[in-house]
Amino acid sequence: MTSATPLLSVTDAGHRYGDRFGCRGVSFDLWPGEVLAVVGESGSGKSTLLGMLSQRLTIDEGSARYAGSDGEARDLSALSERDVRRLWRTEWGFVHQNAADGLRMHVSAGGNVGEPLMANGWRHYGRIRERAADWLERVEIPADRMDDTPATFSGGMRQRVQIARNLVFGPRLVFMDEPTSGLDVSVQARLLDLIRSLVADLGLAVVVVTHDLAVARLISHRTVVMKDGRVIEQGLTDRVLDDPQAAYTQLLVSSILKG
Amino acid sequence: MTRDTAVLSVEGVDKTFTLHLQGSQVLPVLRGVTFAVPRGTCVVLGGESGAGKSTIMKMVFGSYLADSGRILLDAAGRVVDLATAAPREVLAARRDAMGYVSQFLSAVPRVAAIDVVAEPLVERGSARDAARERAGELLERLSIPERLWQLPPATFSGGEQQRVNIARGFAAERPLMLLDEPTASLDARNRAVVVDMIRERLRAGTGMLAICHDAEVRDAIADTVVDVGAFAPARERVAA
Repeated sequence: MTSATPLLSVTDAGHRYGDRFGCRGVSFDLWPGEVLAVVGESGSGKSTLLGMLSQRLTIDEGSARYAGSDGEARDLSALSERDVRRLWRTEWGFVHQNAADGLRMHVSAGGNVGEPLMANGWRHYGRIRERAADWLERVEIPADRMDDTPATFSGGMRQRVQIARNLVFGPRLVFMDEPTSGLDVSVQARLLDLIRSLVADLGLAVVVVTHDLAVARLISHRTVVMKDGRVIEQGLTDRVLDDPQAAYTQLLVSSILKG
Repeated sequence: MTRDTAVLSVEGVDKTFTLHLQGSQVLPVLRGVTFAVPRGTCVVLGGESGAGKSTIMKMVFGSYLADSGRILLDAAGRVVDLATAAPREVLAARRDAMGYVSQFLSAVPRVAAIDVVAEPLVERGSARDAARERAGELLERLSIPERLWQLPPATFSGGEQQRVNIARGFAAERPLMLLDEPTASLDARNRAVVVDMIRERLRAGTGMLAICHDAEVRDAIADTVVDVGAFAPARERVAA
């Protein structure tokens, strides 16, 4: 997958809470097929950054430009609410840490996955159901659970349904906020492997926020390390983790529990 | 040997580690690393343990930062300086121009051995079936029994994992191969197979940079041995 322009181009971006910046001075380019991990501890500004990129928070300084499917790069701050809604319907996905924030817990799994298709104008019930079934199979939800609600599912299954719901309509950019935290280790490994292969197969661009360096190593190409709202270090994931330059990154890497 | 025929030219590369957690201790490990890997030859990095052989290998692969100098990779007439290349260029170079066989298989949970081996081909655009077929040939050559092909290698023995890793490294034909102790946990028969595979690739024009402690294997594959000890920072050379 090659392309001449980045999908997302962030330059010196910052968001202010009152007189304090939640994050500031963030710059990076993201290309189709690339996974960018944003790592840091709580309060590092990584969630603020994600909120800003996903247009849930304003970009108060600097800029973020997104190259839409029409080939035109636009400043995110200049988009109307309607533009942003259209992006969420057709080009962007968001996988929440807590599946209940991203799913309708009392609608069937099939309904959860079919809904984004309906929002995109699909009307034929049989085809919607068929596509939803395909996607549930891809995320390894047994066919006989399709009509059950996520409320009856395990944490790992809920996350997989959430991923299917966010990928079914063919997005180009997916944001993920701690997609595997709170899950058992074996369930995490399975989910990460699934994300890794889907991202590669679909050529998606992904921004994933995580406090877990092992998650960054397993699924990301590049890593941004944040602390106190600032970028401490960024680069190729294996370079950042194997040869960290900043004192803080060295501290983070040395704090990993080796299994 | 001129740079025209070299796949890899390392020129004046320095490396210093700064250990911020140990009172910002500064450890110079390499100074002025300079050597070339011409097409179709195997350059083995020699020298004592701790001399910085793996560090050189990692700087070439891009997982360690080079402090200065140039690391020029010439692939299909396009030269990239890996010492300064953007992450995206390093990733492209890894996909298209350099293979890395390390001593240990990096854990890829839940992926079948045959797909671990086929992945570099699929990444470069091969059809999955064709890639699997090629992967199967390599696994067979390296005596991985077919009943294991569909299983994730995480549960294999050390020697089996290393052979899966070698098969993966040899799956795609790339102008440069980095071999870090490629035969460390192999028996004599498999060692001979790997030596044959390396020689075939050399004849086909691949340049190789290797770390190899096994004298027999080293003699069988090396065209040149670069003494990494020559790049030790002056102070340490005096101390030694």
